Amino acid sequence: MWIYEKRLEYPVNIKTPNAKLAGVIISQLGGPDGEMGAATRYLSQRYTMPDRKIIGALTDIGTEELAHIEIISAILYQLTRNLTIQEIKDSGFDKYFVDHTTGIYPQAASGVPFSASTLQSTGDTFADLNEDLAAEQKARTTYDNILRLSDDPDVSDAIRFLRAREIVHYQRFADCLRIAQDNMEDKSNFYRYNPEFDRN
Amino acid sequence: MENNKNTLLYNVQKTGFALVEANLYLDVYPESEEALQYFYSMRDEYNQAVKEYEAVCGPLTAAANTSNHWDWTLTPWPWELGVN
Repeated sequence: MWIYEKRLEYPVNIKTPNAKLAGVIISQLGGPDGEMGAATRYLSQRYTMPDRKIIGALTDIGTEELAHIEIISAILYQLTRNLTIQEIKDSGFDKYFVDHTTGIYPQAASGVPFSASTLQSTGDTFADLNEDLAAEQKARTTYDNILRLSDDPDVSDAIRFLRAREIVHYQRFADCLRIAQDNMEDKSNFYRYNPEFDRN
Repeated sequence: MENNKNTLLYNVQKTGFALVEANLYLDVYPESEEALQYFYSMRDEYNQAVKEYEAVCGPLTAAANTSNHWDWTLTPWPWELGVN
């Protein structure tokens, strides 16, 4: 179960609305390497993991990703407040606006809705942990690109926090991979069997 | 008043973040006594910061609603500008 804490993990206070910037940042909500995919991936993978430490890391990192969904959503909410129809037309936000007004909907910047097809839960420890390492790097790249596109210091400040968290999560998943390898009796071949299935 | 609220929230965010970071580290390094002591010391600071915040700004969790009124939904939500 979960308990909601009524605060953001990191503050978001954006003084200047900017629909164009919202249109790219939305990719970190519902895009291929976004926070919704991250939370769904880790919180799905954890059940069949063969080590309680790895389950703990997936649970706690997955939970932090839920807080990151909220930070990105807060950024989008504040960037799209008080927009005029002219601003919506000029910024290219009209294509989003026609379906969602200024509601927060998980999609990529390209307009493709969030899909679980962007993530995996293979039931294989080594495949999943390597996917998780890659996912953190891909999200870090997306944040790097958002920082290249953002000229608003209020937005960039929160994005830098999220970017730093991708790197820490990457380090913790590397620790998980080491734990999984240390658990295998045969250190010359980690793939001799799948500890999530073959030893049940 | 608003400045005081911001400071109280900042203290919750600062100590809460330290807790999250120590939590993730301990998940994979449970034998680290240094990390465990850090976690306990940050937890004490976090609990104190939450207590001070809730006394002025209202409950951070529904379970922390202790007044004779349901304040949980009346206080601002975190994405509102200037309250987080």
